Amino acid sequence: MKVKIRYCGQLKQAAGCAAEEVDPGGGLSAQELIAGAAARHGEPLTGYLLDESGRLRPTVLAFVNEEQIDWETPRPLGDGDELVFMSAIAGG
Amino acid sequence: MIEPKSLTDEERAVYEWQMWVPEFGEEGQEKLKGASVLISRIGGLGGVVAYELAAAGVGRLVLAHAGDVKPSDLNRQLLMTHDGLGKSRVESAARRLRELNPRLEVEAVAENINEGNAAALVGSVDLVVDCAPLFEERFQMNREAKSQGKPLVECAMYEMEAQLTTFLPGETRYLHELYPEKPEWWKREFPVFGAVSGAVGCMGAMEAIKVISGIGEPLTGELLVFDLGEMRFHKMKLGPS
Repeated sequence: MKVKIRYCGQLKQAAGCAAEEVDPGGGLSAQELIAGAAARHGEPLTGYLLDESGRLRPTVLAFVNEEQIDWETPRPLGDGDELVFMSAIAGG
Repeated sequence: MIEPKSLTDEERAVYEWQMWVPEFGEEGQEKLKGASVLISRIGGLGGVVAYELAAAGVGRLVLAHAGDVKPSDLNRQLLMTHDGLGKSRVESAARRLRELNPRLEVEAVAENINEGNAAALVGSVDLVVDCAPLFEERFQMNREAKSQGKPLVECAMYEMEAQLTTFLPGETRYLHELYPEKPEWWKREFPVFGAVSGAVGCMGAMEAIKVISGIGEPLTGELLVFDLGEMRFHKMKLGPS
């Protein structure tokens, strides 16, 4: 199973890439994949994505196939799904 | 509720091309003339929003931006000029907008949005466009817009990426509800091209025109995200809570 992960805003630099394709195996939720991405890349991405208790920070939005996901509701993933992380940005 | 204002013959001549847009017509133009918009701030993003709204014939613009023009403003702040270095940003912007549209009523406020002025500034207009670089200002403006029942167009950018959405009272969440905390790592100065701020500024102005005139489909409940590095555009559906 292949899932694409895309990093937007400041998360792109923190991850060191704009996008990556991973094979999480079967049965993983989007929430578990987020934790996996944080563990794989380490800091600074982990600190940008997750708080001390391992939950998605309120300054980051996560989407599966262009629909925002709720951290409290496990979102099963399928082959070809795209997961997008987006950090809050501003103007100037 | 926006009170439409009838047009003069001069205005009919100036706005002829956009009044040809189906659904808009003279009725839409009269709504723009009767409308007032607060833009905070009028840098790379807000300056382009202000210029487009002045060109489109919005009747009154309130511009909030503190400080003087610096060299590092000039890669993107299109209402500022080299001759204006060291002079008030908001006065420079007001002058440029009046040159474009002498019929425009401009209120130049040489302050950024803060706890002390947000309620009055938001209360003085029909719609707000948020182009500020600091989340404290953005949250303050969003809280006021929500509590006063005002629509707010939210524009943001970083490097070659941008985000745009429109918040409507009673229909959508506002920024402080979408992001309940400000990102600690965000800094007022960040990498960006003027062509990126210009692109999202034009789109933000179009959102304001749509909301005021009632045409088209504003980006409500959706976040437009684009990356001009890859010319990738996506409309992301925002969750209800």
